[in-house]
Amino acid sequence: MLEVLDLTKRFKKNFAVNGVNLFLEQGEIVGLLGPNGAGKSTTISMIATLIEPNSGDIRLYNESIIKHPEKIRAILGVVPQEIALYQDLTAEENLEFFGRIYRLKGRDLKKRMDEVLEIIGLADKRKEKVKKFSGGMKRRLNIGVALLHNPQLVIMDEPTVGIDPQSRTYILDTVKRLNQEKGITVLYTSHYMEEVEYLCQRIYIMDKGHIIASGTKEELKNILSQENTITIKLDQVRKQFVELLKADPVFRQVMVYDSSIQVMVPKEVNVFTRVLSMAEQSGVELAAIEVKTPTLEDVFLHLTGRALRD
Amino acid sequence: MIWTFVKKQLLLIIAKPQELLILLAMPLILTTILSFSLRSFIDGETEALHAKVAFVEYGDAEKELAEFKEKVDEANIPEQAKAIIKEQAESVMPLKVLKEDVLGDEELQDYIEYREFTGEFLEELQNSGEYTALIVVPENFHFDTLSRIFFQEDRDSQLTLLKNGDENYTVKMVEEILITFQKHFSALTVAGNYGVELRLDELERDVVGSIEMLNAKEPVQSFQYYTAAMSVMFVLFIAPYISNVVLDEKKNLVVDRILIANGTRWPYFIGTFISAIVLAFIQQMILYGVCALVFQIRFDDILAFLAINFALCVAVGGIASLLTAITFYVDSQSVANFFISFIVMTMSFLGGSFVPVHTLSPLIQSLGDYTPNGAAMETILQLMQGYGIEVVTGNAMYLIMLGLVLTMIGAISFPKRGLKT
Repeated sequence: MLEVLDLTKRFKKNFAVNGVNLFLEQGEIVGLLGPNGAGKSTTISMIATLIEPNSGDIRLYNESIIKHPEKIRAILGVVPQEIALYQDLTAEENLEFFGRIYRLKGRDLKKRMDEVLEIIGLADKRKEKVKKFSGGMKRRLNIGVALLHNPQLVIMDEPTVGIDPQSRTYILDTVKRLNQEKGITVLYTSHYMEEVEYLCQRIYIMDKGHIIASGTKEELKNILSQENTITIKLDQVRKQFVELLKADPVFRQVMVYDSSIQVMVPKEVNVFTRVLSMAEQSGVELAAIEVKTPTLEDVFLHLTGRALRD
Repeated sequence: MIWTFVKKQLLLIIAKPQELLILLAMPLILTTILSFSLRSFIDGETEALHAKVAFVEYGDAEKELAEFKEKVDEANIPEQAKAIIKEQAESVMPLKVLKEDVLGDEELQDYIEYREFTGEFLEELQNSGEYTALIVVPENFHFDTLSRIFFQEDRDSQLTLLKNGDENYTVKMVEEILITFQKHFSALTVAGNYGVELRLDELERDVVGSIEMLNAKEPVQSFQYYTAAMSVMFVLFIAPYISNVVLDEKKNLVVDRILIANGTRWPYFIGTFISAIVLAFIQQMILYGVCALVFQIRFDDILAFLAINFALCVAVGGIASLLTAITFYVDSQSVANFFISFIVMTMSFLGGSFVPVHTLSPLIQSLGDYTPNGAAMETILQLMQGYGIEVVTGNAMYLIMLGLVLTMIGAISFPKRGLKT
């Protein structure tokens, strides 16, 4: 359905996006994962025809949307990271305004507004002003506006930022339902690993303007199939102990938390004897050593050397 | 599509009581306060309205009348007609009517005094600046005028008005009297051309009529003055209000959403321009509506009043468009804040919203005429005095042109966003 080819965007001398390639098949949910500043928003702004790339191409059904942006605009719904709504207007007034901008009118507009309000679960709040909504309700209406014109492709840029777990669950379920019931293709960007794991069939991991890995969840996790994630719980984290871990080439991606340290080690290595020895040398009392199979978070850490939410 | 943007703006402004307070309540409150507190200043000024007029005559009225009578005697018309013409000619001696029946009227004497001079004093009078206006009467003026009236001869008999200063009310008053007087005599000539019998009682009634017209143009009162002053000042606040809405729309990506949905920035930009005009016009109508009820502000010529207000609103739409483009580019509310705290205040001062500009220097008066609020206010005050559509045309054209030019500058400088379709 959509192909992004060698897409590059420079702001002065800085490459926000550098040679990005990705594709979306019709009816799939694809995750674009990356920390803040990775280039996700710039990438989706180019796909949404808001920013012109310096080079590369974006093709919808094999036709360049850089030359013909109207092709994608007709079938595209965008859910921006910000609450792109009029806070002083009611939910209904917002939907009506954006519906008319999408050239809906009369009965079609009213019918579509009713449908969207049902989808996002705000039918009983339609007459309330947006500024009185909770964060979750605003996010839902933000999604609703993007669905007004029955888009085939929806781009969601961090649609769950700053909301409570219940609202997040509602939104994730809504996205999944839209995909399954209406066949809507979704490009979902987030820095919440669990959301991407829950929703997406395929995932692109982006960092510093590049796609650094892509594939299904299983394919990405296989990157770390030869490694284990070890969490060492301590009574107190001591500098000497951390330095010993970092000095040993077996331990990679040493992440220090308040009372624990996380490292990655090859599966064949016996970590217990090494860790016990280091703890003894540095006078640290161990509380526990946990060994687990890698998550996507670990994959990201492995690839970028930093946590998603850094 | 445009209506969608306008409706959205109306809904937004209704939803924000604090904005309504600034745009509607504040001008009404200030009109009341300033009208009461500066009543003596404004009304006192009208009491001081006093024009000194000098007639500078190059000819001799009596001699020209005698010559005209000779001409009548020589004319090939019945003796009875000759007698009537000679009798009436004495009565319609143009300057005699102007001096005795018009300027000599008891009510007018409080406002205008006149003196007579011969032509040789013209330069001296011009240099002295003592007189509000000089009415220059050319040689043979009386003879030519009488010949034109009674024999329908095509003779040029025009008075010349030399004004001391351009736009103050006393000069305008004299000018108006003279124009009315000249129109009156032109009407007599036309009537003569079509064989309408000239009767003295008609003539006198008409001359009295011109005085009535003058009396209708009473000096503006303080409530009238500040109704106009505050309305033309606060209509300017529509522009920063609109630009701040646009800034919010940009910051929370509503503009992006509109661009993706709609394709180009033009409906959005034009929608902003039209919204500003509509909001400004509604604001003006509400303000004048309330002032009509509370302060008894009335306009004889409603169409002329609507025309100048519409033109002012177009100018405000232009300012809003330009301000929106600059705000969009700078990406900061500081543009609107600067406009409110400096530009609006300066324009209001120059335009006469705080004190009448003709009490200030001629330079400030001239600058004030170029401000949209000043141009509109001057016209609105004239309409309040009873003038008609003829005083609207010039300033209305200027305001509409200003609005369109500013909109074009705004459109050209409005930052491009999104791929072109």
